[in-house]
Amino acid sequence: MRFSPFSRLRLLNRSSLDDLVDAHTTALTRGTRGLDALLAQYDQATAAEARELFALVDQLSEVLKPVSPDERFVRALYEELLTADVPSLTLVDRIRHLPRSQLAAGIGGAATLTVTAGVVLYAWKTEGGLMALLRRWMPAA
Amino acid sequence: MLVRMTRRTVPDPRDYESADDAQLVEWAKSDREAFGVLYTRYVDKIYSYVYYRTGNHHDAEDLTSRVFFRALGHIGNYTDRGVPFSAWLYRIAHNLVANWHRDRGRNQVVALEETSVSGAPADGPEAATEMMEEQSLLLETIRQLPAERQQVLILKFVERLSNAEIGAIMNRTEGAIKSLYHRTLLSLRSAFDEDGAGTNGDSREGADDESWPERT
Repeated sequence: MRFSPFSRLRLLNRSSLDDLVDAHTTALTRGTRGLDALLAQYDQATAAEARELFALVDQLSEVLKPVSPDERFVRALYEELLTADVPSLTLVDRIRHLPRSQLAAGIGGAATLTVTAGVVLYAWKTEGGLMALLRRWMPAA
Repeated sequence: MLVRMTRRTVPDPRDYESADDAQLVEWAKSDREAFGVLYTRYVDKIYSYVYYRTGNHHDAEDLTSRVFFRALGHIGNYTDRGVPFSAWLYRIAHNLVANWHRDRGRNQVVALEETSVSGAPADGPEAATEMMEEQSLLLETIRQLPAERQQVLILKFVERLSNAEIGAIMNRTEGAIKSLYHRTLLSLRSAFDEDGAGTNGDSREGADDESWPERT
C-alpha cells in the first residue's frame, strides 16, 4: 500500500500538531505563555484543530492541580517510617503482586504437578500396581 | 569551647538536604533518616497521584502509606539502572492503585470526593456555576478513560513531568508518550463533545492496568 502525497501531508500535519499541542502543554505547566501566536504559521485546518486542543489543554490545567495531603498525616507517616520495623512481604503478598504471566505460569506448573501426582498415585493404588504397568510398557525390564 | 572545637573538627559527613536522590537512596539502605528525606521530597507528589487515581482522601492516605512502606521494605534491593528514584516510587504507586482497583471491581468508577474545580473568576454566579459544572464533567470524563491515559494526564498536569520523565515511569519512549498524550486528548475531546461521560467504548477504570516493573 502506497501513501499518496496528500496522506503524507496529513501525517506531517498530524505530527506537527502533536508537537504543537505538547509544546503548548509544557508551556502552560511551566507557567509560561501558550503558543497561540505560533498558529498563524500553520494551515487553517491544523490551526483550527490546534485551537480546539489548546482549549482542552487549558481546561485540563485548570482542573488537574496538585493536591496536598493533610499535614498531620504526613507527620504521622514520617514518624512511623522512621521508627517502624521494616515489613517483609508475606508469601501471599508476594504471590499477589506477581505479574500476571508469572502467576499464570505458576498456577499452570502447580496444576501439572498435581495431575501428574494424581495419575501416579492412582496407578500405584490400582490392582497390579505401578510396577505391573511399567512391566507392560517395558517387557524387557 | 571544647564543644565548639569538637563540632568543627567532626563535621556531619551526611548533608541530607543537599544530597541528590541517588546518594540518598544509597544512604537509605542503612540509614532511616535518609529515607525520611526521600519521603519528604516525594510524599506530596505520590499523594497527588494516588488521590487522582482513587478519588478520595481516605484511600489516598492509605495507599500513600503503603507505597512508602513498600519502598522502605525494598530499598535494600534497589539498584540504580539509570531510571530516577521517583520513577520507581510512581511504579510502586501505580501497581498498588491497580491492585486497589482490581479489589474494588473493574467497572466501578470512583467519583472525586471533592472535585478540585476552581477556575478563574467568572462573570457572575451563573457563569461560575456553569464553569464548575463543565469542570466537574471534565473530571468525570477523565476518570472514565483507560488507566494508562489517566496516568499520562495526571503525570503531565498534576505532577508536571516531561515526556521523558513520564516515559521512565511508564517504561516507554518519549515519542510514545507524546503520541499517547495526543490520542488521550483526542479521545477526551470526543467523549467530552458527546457529553458522554461513560459512553466511551473503551472507558473503564483499570482496563489496561498492568503492573509496571518496580525493579526491586
